[in-house]
Amino acid sequence: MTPEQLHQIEKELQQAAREALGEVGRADGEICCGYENKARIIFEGNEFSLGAVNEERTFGVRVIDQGRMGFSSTNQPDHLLSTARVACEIARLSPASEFHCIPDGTPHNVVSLIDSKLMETDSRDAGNLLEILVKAASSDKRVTIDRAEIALSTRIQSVLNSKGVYSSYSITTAEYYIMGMARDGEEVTSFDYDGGVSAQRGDLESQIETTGLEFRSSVIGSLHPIKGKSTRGAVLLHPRAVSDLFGSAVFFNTNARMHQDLTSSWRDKLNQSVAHPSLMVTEHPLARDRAEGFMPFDREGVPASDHAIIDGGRLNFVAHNSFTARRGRSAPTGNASGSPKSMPGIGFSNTSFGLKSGSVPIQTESEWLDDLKHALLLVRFSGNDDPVSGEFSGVAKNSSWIEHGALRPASEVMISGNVFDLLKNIAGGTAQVFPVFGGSHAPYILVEGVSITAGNE
Amino acid sequence: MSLRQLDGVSIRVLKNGTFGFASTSDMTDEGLARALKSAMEMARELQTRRLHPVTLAQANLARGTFATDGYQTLDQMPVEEKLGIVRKCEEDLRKSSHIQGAQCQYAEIFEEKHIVTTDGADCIVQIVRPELRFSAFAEEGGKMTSGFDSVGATGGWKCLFENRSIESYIETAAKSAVDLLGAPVAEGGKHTVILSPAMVGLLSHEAIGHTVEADFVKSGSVAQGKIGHMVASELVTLCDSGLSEFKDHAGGMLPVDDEGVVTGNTTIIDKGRLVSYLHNRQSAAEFGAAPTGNARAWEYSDEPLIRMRNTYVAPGSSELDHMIGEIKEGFYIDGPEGGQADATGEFMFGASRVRKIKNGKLEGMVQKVSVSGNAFEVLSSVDAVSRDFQWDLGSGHCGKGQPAKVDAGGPFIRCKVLIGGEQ
Repeated sequence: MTPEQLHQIEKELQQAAREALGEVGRADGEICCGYENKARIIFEGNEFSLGAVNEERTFGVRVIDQGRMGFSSTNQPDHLLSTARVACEIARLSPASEFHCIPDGTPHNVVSLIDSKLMETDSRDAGNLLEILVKAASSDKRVTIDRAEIALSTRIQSVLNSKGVYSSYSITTAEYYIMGMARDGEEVTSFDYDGGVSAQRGDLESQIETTGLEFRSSVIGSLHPIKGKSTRGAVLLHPRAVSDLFGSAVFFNTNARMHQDLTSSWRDKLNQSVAHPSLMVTEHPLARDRAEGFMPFDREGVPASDHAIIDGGRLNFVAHNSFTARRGRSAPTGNASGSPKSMPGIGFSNTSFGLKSGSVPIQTESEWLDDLKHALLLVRFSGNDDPVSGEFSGVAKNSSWIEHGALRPASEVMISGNVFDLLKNIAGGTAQVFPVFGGSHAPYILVEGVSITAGNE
Repeated sequence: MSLRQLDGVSIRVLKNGTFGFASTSDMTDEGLARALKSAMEMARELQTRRLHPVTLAQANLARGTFATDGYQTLDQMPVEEKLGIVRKCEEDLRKSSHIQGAQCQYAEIFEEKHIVTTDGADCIVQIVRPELRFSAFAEEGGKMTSGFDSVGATGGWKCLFENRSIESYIETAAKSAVDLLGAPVAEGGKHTVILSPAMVGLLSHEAIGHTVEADFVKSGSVAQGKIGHMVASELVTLCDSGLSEFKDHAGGMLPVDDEGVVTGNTTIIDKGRLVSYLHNRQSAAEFGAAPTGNARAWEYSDEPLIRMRNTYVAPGSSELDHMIGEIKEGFYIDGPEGGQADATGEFMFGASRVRKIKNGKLEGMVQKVSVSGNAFEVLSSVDAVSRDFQWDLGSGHCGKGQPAKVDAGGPFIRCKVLIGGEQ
């Protein structure tokens, strides 16, 4: 595909959306359009297994007629007008709410994050890139790869509404990931995964090789684990665990819908302390170097912007779409989430956790490992966390016991506690933050008072 | 309310021992020709990289139309009637004291697939799967808790309530949210437990089912090389079925898989002994086995993967009351909240309705817990299996890169597991 062909597709989507908008009559209408062309090469069961190409156009039609909302989606351009009529019919049947609305916004907002070199990358190049990932990971024969994949995508998402908003962005990405484990004789480790997303062809080879080598180190490092002892104590959260454990509670409880439906424990806590004074949580949807969550405008066409969600432990921001904004008598914040196939929800993009120096000890990762006498290094949390009560309980995966500076892989370790307590009981961490596959950045964070249950008791 | 409709075509080619796959929403002749060309090019691209050529096992390929119950009747049921029921459920959920918020969600998935292969499959498969979810949120003294229940089936509206009334789902969701307000935290450690049919289903799916999917076995899962070995107590027979044994309308029914293979019931563990993996046509050829009808694709744009359908432990002969009565200290575990399995056979799943058992009697509710263990060790610890049977995960989706509608269930079983709790 060429940039000119992509531009032509964008024009066709816009034209189809304009015609569909005409079908909704005097009601408020919004057409969200999507286009994706994706080529994937898949390595599975220690073999190259499949090459796949997917191409799809999608349209989501939202209609608000006298406070009643209807939504219908299709992937057939020829069905778009009838889909708009179905959305009108659904609106007629739906309960009314004074808060349903289509937002005002920037009349014309077109953004491109297209890298022509990435666009030119063909399936042969993609296969070569996947081979680099596989070779790096399996340079130790004990590594066994369940699945590795590279996907090259070209996407467009645009929103046109009856209030004159037209927003459109296009992006090319290379997404790669690997999942597998180590096997040494009869011993099998927990599976692990890693990956990345880039919007630039640049030096993908080197990024991919690094990911493969890090994956290899992680699974080989999980061989020959020990069970350890049950205790209540310190846990050093790896950036992945910070993102998993803290992310679930923080992003649920800063979603305006949860405040308005009375399901958030933080609903009356705006500008109040909800975490240790060192904690910072931010989002960066406009960061072009973080392709996973790059989003110049939201699902409703409202321009996105950076937000300080938790600032020095204080709840500083609650995310809105147009519905919650009107219900809460505030403005949409550019956090409407979703695709053309779904109605707008509320979400965050390119989130970052960080620690402010001064109020907790800050050291490097290796200094923490040297200093801690008895602790668990929690890399991946596999379990259940209830963002309403904050209670969590699950298994520590790919994790290690820290004993006087030495690391020993851990097996059959369960941890439990309350995330709201952990957010307040931060005892230290690193200044450096690390990218986490999935779109977040986070430091290592030390927390106290976690129940650790070892499986040998 | 919303409606989502997807139409499209996928083409998979096997050329010189390599698969190529393409999908398109452009169903014109030109669109299909372009997709076929892309699939052929992808197959060609991989030929030089693949070490062992793919072959397909012979299979009982489907011809004709396969429609599950309710496909017509659910579509004809007025939307207004469904909406009215959902709104009433939400109102009823709010009626208990301490309930601050409630949600009731209804979804129905209609699938119509035409599957044609060059070696003989030519069929139309029509399936409908409705599901209802009930959530309640309680608050007291600044503490918030949530309760949840759900039901899903393959079939029409009435199929949802063949085993329990709609009122009982509402009561379970609201009551568990309220009961959790004052519930103590469970004591962590290894305990004797009674697992409810829903939890047995989750154990069967997460802990065993994933480790015996042949693609995962090939990658090195703990089940590799274990065919013929005793991996569980003799009381345990575990199956995965496209049908719906013991009770009708399980949520993962699948008459024909997405390679056009007629499904049936696959016994995975027979009285404690591992006897089969779950296969598509490719893995069946590699393992010298027969295809089991487990190739499934979620949307037209997804390639078929080896997935489960309805996974269960077969009922035994014990009485539940007697099983509880013999436990001095332990837990009764119900209310599945998602789970994950590992290559090692180590599993984890959450439970939201957990009660302590002391001196053979059920006591009050404790906080939500996670339950963990090694699958084969836990199944080897089973010392009682009840005569009851229930499908109870019909509203669930399994995730493996793409979703799949599955169900799972079984009787009550007594075993030993690790519970994550307070130290």
